[in-house]
Amino acid sequence: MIWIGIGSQTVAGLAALVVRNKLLTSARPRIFHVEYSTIGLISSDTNYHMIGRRSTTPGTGTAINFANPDSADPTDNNIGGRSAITVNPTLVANSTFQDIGLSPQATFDWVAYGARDEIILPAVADSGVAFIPLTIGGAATVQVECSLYE
Amino acid sequence: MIFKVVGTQTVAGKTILTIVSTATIRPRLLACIYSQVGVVSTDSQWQVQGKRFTAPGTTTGLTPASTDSADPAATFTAGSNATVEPTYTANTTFQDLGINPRSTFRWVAYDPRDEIIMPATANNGLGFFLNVLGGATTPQVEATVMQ
Repeated sequence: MIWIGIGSQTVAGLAALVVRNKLLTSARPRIFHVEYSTIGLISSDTNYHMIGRRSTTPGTGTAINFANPDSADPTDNNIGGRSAITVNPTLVANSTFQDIGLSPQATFDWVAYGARDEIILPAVADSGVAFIPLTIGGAATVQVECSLYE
Repeated sequence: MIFKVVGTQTVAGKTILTIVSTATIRPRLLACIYSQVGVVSTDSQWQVQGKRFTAPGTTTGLTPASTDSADPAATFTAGSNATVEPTYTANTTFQDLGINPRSTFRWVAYDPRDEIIMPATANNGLGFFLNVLGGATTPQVEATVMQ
Protein backbone atom coordinates (compact mmCIF):
# COMPACT_ATOMS: atom_id res chain seq x y z
CA MET A 1 0.00 0.00 0.00
CA ILE A 2 1.07 3.54 -0.72
CA TRP A 3 0.86 6.34 1.81
CA ILE A 4 1.16 10.11 1.45
CA GLY A 5 2.14 12.41 4.31
CA ILE A 6 2.45 16.19 4.38
CA GLY A 7 4.27 18.36 6.91
CA SER A 8 5.15 22.01 7.21
CA GLN A 9 7.47 24.26 9.18
CA THR A 10 8.16 27.96 9.70
CA VAL A 11 11.26 27.69 11.87
CA ALA A 12 14.75 26.95 10.55
CA GLY A 13 16.47 23.94 12.05
CA LEU A 14 13.30 22.10 13.02
CA ALA A 15 11.80 19.31 10.91
CA ALA A 16 8.84 20.02 8.66
CA LEU A 17 7.95 16.35 8.38
CA VAL A 18 8.93 13.21 10.22
CA VAL A 19 8.02 9.79 8.82
CA ARG A 20 8.43 6.83 11.12
CA ASN A 21 7.70 3.19 11.61
CA LYS A 22 5.15 3.10 14.39
CA LEU A 23 4.90 -0.61 14.93
CA LEU A 24 6.71 -2.36 12.15
CA THR A 25 9.50 -4.71 12.97
CA SER A 26 8.99 -6.94 9.98
CA ALA A 27 8.37 -4.58 7.06
CA ARG A 28 10.57 -1.96 5.49
CA PRO A 29 8.74 1.12 4.14
CA ARG A 30 10.28 2.70 1.04
CA ILE A 31 10.16 6.39 0.13
CA PHE A 32 9.89 6.94 -3.60
CA HIS A 33 8.58 10.50 -4.02
CA VAL A 34 9.14 13.83 -2.24
CA GLU A 35 7.77 17.27 -3.14
CA TYR A 36 9.09 20.50 -1.69
CA SER A 37 7.17 23.78 -1.83
CA THR A 38 6.40 26.87 0.21
CA ILE A 39 3.15 28.54 1.20
CA GLY A 40 2.64 32.21 1.95
CA LEU A 41 4.25 35.52 1.15
CA ILE A 42 7.89 35.33 0.05
CA SER A 43 10.06 37.87 1.83
CA SER A 44 13.13 37.57 -0.43
CA ASP A 45 14.53 35.48 -3.27
CA THR A 46 16.94 33.72 -0.93
CA ASN A 47 16.82 29.95 -1.25
CA TYR A 48 15.77 27.72 1.61
CA HIS A 49 17.92 24.69 2.34
CA MET A 50 16.34 21.30 2.88
CA ILE A 51 17.89 18.07 4.05
CA GLY A 52 16.44 14.58 4.42
CA ARG A 53 18.09 12.48 7.11
CA ARG A 54 17.41 9.26 8.97
CA SER A 55 16.11 9.38 12.53
CA THR A 56 15.74 6.94 15.40
CA THR A 57 13.08 8.79 17.42
CA PRO A 58 10.10 10.78 16.12
CA GLY A 59 10.67 13.99 18.08
CA THR A 60 7.79 16.22 19.16
CA GLY A 61 5.27 17.74 16.79
CA THR A 62 1.75 17.62 15.46
CA ALA A 63 0.69 14.09 14.59
CA ILE A 64 -0.50 13.64 11.01
CA ASN A 65 -2.51 10.94 9.31
CA PHE A 66 -1.23 9.48 6.07
CA ALA A 67 -3.58 9.39 3.12
CA ASN A 68 -3.56 6.64 0.51
CA PRO A 69 -4.36 6.67 -3.17
CA ASP A 70 -6.68 3.69 -2.92
CA SER A 71 -9.92 4.40 -1.07
CA ALA A 72 -10.29 0.69 -0.36
CA ASP A 73 -7.10 0.48 1.65
CA PRO A 74 -7.37 -0.03 5.41
CA THR A 75 -6.39 2.64 7.90
CA ASP A 76 -2.70 2.71 8.42
CA ASN A 77 -1.49 1.68 11.83
CA ASN A 78 2.10 1.17 10.92
CA ILE A 79 3.29 4.42 9.37
CA GLY A 80 3.24 7.52 11.52
CA GLY A 81 4.18 11.09 10.89
CA ARG A 82 4.61 14.43 12.55
CA SER A 83 4.49 17.95 11.21
CA ALA A 84 5.66 21.33 12.56
CA ILE A 85 8.23 19.71 14.81
CA THR A 86 9.09 21.57 18.01
CA VAL A 87 11.69 19.09 19.29
CA ASN A 88 13.73 17.44 16.57
CA PRO A 89 14.04 13.66 16.21
CA THR A 90 17.30 11.98 17.07
CA LEU A 91 19.16 12.16 13.78
CA VAL A 92 21.60 9.56 12.47
CA ALA A 93 25.06 10.84 11.55
CA ASN A 94 26.16 10.51 7.92
CA SER A 95 22.70 9.52 6.76
CA THR A 96 21.72 12.59 4.72
CA PHE A 97 20.01 11.21 1.64
CA GLN A 98 18.82 14.56 0.30
CA ASP A 99 20.45 18.00 0.54
CA ILE A 100 19.06 20.71 -1.73
CA GLY A 101 18.84 24.49 -1.99
CA LEU A 102 15.40 25.53 -3.22
CA SER A 103 13.88 28.78 -4.42
CA PRO A 104 10.94 29.85 -2.25
CA GLN A 105 9.17 30.77 -5.51
CA ALA A 106 9.47 27.26 -6.93
CA THR A 107 8.13 23.78 -6.37
CA PHE A 108 10.50 20.84 -6.64
CA ASP A 109 9.60 17.23 -7.25
CA TRP A 110 12.01 14.38 -6.51
CA VAL A 111 11.15 10.92 -7.74
CA ALA A 112 13.39 7.92 -7.20
CA TYR A 113 15.31 6.77 -10.25
CA GLY A 114 13.65 3.37 -10.28
CA ALA A 115 13.19 1.02 -7.35
CA ARG A 116 16.94 0.88 -6.78
CA ASP A 117 16.97 4.53 -5.74
CA GLU A 118 14.16 4.39 -3.17
CA ILE A 119 15.00 5.33 0.41
CA ILE A 120 14.46 2.22 2.51
CA LEU A 121 13.57 2.56 6.18
CA PRO A 122 14.71 -0.02 8.70
CA ALA A 123 12.27 -2.47 10.27
CA VAL A 124 12.74 -0.83 13.62
CA ALA A 125 9.91 0.81 15.55
CA ASP A 126 10.18 4.60 15.79
CA SER A 127 12.96 4.78 13.19
CA GLY A 128 12.35 6.81 10.08
CA VAL A 129 13.37 9.99 8.33
CA ALA A 130 13.10 13.71 8.94
CA PHE A 131 12.90 16.53 6.40
CA ILE A 132 14.46 19.64 7.92
CA PRO A 133 14.82 23.20 6.59
CA LEU A 134 18.33 24.13 7.71
CA THR A 135 17.60 27.67 6.56
CA ILE A 136 14.24 29.23 5.70
CA GLY A 137 15.59 31.90 3.34
CA GLY A 138 12.77 33.94 1.84
CA ALA A 139 10.12 31.31 2.50
CA ALA A 140 7.23 31.76 4.90
CA THR A 141 6.09 28.18 5.42
CA VAL A 142 8.08 25.28 4.01
CA GLN A 143 6.03 22.25 3.07
CA VAL A 144 7.12 18.67 2.34
CA GLU A 145 4.97 15.94 0.84
CA CYS A 146 6.32 12.41 1.00
CA SER A 147 5.03 9.23 -0.63
CA LEU A 148 6.06 5.80 0.52
CA TYR A 149 4.88 2.24 0.39
CA GLU A 150 5.01 -0.60 2.81
CA MET B 1 23.96 -0.42 -3.43
CA ILE B 2 23.12 3.21 -3.96
CA PHE B 3 24.56 6.13 -2.04
CA LYS B 4 24.08 9.90 -1.88
CA VAL B 5 26.92 12.41 -1.54
CA VAL B 6 26.73 16.20 -1.42
CA GLY B 7 29.53 18.64 -2.15
CA THR B 8 29.69 22.42 -1.90
CA GLN B 9 31.98 25.16 -3.13
CA THR B 10 32.16 28.95 -2.90
CA VAL B 11 35.14 29.66 -5.18
CA ALA B 12 35.04 29.69 -8.98
CA GLY B 13 37.69 27.53 -10.60
CA LYS B 14 37.49 24.92 -7.86
CA THR B 15 35.73 21.58 -7.71
CA ILE B 16 32.48 21.14 -5.79
CA LEU B 17 32.37 17.36 -5.49
CA THR B 18 34.60 14.39 -6.31
CA ILE B 19 33.61 10.72 -6.56
CA VAL B 20 36.60 8.40 -6.41
CA SER B 21 36.71 4.80 -7.60
CA THR B 22 38.96 1.93 -6.49
CA ALA B 23 40.62 -0.97 -8.32
CA THR B 24 37.81 -3.36 -7.42
CA ILE B 25 34.58 -1.54 -8.30
CA ARG B 26 33.00 0.42 -11.14
CA PRO B 27 30.77 3.08 -9.56
CA ARG B 28 27.99 4.53 -11.70
CA LEU B 29 26.55 8.04 -11.53
CA LEU B 30 22.76 7.77 -11.79
CA ALA B 31 21.49 11.28 -11.01
CA CYS B 32 22.51 14.73 -9.78
CA ILE B 33 20.73 17.65 -8.17
CA TYR B 34 22.29 21.07 -8.70
CA SER B 35 21.28 23.88 -6.37
CA GLN B 36 22.72 26.70 -4.36
CA VAL B 37 22.34 27.98 -0.81
CA GLY B 38 22.59 31.57 0.40
CA VAL B 39 21.71 35.04 -0.83
CA VAL B 40 21.71 35.48 -4.59
CA SER B 41 23.71 38.56 -5.56
CA THR B 42 22.68 38.79 -9.23
CA ASP B 43 20.70 36.81 -11.76
CA SER B 44 23.95 35.68 -13.38
CA GLN B 45 24.10 31.90 -13.93
CA TRP B 46 26.61 29.65 -12.24
CA GLN B 47 28.30 27.06 -14.45
CA VAL B 48 29.22 23.52 -13.48
CA GLN B 49 31.15 20.94 -15.52
CA GLY B 50 31.24 17.22 -14.83
CA LYS B 51 34.53 15.64 -15.95
CA ARG B 52 36.64 12.56 -15.38
CA PHE B 53 39.90 12.70 -13.42
CA THR B 54 42.88 10.47 -12.75
CA ALA B 55 43.89 12.01 -9.41
CA PRO B 56 41.34 13.38 -6.93
CA GLY B 57 43.16 16.46 -5.63
CA THR B 58 42.59 17.61 -2.06
CA THR B 59 39.07 17.81 -0.68
CA THR B 60 37.08 17.54 2.53
CA GLY B 61 36.14 13.87 2.92
CA LEU B 62 32.47 12.88 2.77
CA THR B 63 30.71 9.82 4.13
CA PRO B 64 28.31 8.48 1.47
CA ALA B 65 24.79 7.91 2.82
CA SER B 66 23.09 4.72 1.71
CA THR B 67 19.51 4.56 0.48
CA ASP B 68 19.09 1.31 2.41
CA SER B 69 19.74 1.45 6.14
CA ALA B 70 20.90 -2.19 6.05
CA ASP B 71 23.73 -1.55 3.57
CA PRO B 72 27.40 -1.61 4.58
CA ALA B 73 29.62 1.42 4.09
CA ALA B 74 30.52 2.51 0.58
CA THR B 75 33.73 1.36 -1.05
CA PHE B 76 34.11 4.41 -3.25
CA THR B 77 35.08 7.66 -1.56
CA ALA B 78 33.94 11.23 -2.10
CA GLY B 79 35.13 14.73 -1.32
CA SER B 80 33.74 18.26 -1.15
CA ASN B 81 35.11 21.78 -1.49
CA ALA B 82 38.40 21.08 -3.28
CA THR B 83 41.38 23.18 -2.31
CA VAL B 84 43.74 21.40 -4.71
CA GLU B 85 42.17 20.49 -8.02
CA PRO B 86 41.82 16.95 -9.37
CA THR B 87 43.84 16.06 -12.47
CA TYR B 88 41.12 16.23 -15.08
CA THR B 89 41.22 14.25 -18.31
CA ALA B 90 40.79 16.29 -21.48
CA ASN B 91 37.70 15.73 -23.61
CA THR B 92 35.71 13.90 -20.92
CA THR B 93 33.13 16.56 -20.06
CA PHE B 94 29.89 14.64 -19.67
CA GLN B 95 27.89 17.55 -18.27
CA ASP B 96 28.26 21.32 -18.74
CA LEU B 97 25.38 23.41 -17.44
CA GLY B 98 24.56 27.02 -16.73
CA ILE B 99 22.19 27.15 -13.78
CA ASN B 100 20.15 30.05 -12.49
CA PRO B 101 21.20 30.68 -8.86
CA ARG B 102 17.53 30.94 -7.92
CA SER B 103 16.69 27.55 -9.34
CA THR B 104 17.27 23.87 -8.67
CA PHE B 105 18.08 21.48 -11.50
CA ARG B 106 17.96 17.70 -11.52
CA TRP B 107 19.60 15.43 -14.05
CA VAL B 108 18.60 11.77 -14.13
CA ALA B 109 20.10 9.21 -16.48
CA TYR B 110 17.71 8.24 -19.25
CA ASP B 111 18.17 4.59 -18.35
CA PRO B 112 21.12 2.38 -17.27
CA ARG B 113 22.80 2.90 -20.68
CA ASP B 114 23.06 6.61 -19.91
CA GLU B 115 24.67 6.23 -16.48
CA ILE B 116 28.20 7.61 -16.15
CA ILE B 117 30.47 4.67 -15.37
CA MET B 118 33.81 5.09 -13.62
CA PRO B 119 36.79 2.82 -14.25
CA ALA B 120 37.99 0.17 -11.80
CA THR B 121 41.14 2.19 -11.22
CA ALA B 122 42.23 3.64 -7.90
CA ASN B 123 41.99 7.43 -7.62
CA ASN B 124 40.09 7.74 -10.87
CA GLY B 125 36.64 9.20 -10.85
CA LEU B 126 34.34 12.12 -11.56
CA GLY B 127 34.56 15.74 -10.51
CA PHE B 128 32.02 18.56 -10.63
CA PHE B 129 33.97 21.70 -11.41
CA LEU B 130 32.57 25.16 -10.59
CA ASN B 131 33.64 27.09 -13.67
CA VAL B 132 31.64 30.28 -12.99
CA LEU B 133 30.13 31.36 -9.66
CA GLY B 134 27.80 33.99 -11.15
CA GLY B 135 25.26 35.31 -8.68
CA ALA B 136 25.43 32.23 -6.48
CA THR B 137 26.86 32.06 -2.98
CA THR B 138 27.36 28.34 -2.36
CA PRO B 139 26.60 26.01 -5.25
CA GLN B 140 26.08 22.42 -4.25
CA VAL B 141 25.86 19.11 -6.07
CA GLU B 142 24.05 16.06 -4.73
CA ALA B 143 25.06 12.91 -6.58
CA THR B 144 23.41 9.50 -6.61
CA VAL B 145 26.07 6.82 -7.03
CA MET B 146 25.68 3.07 -7.41
CA GLN B 147 28.50 0.64 -6.73
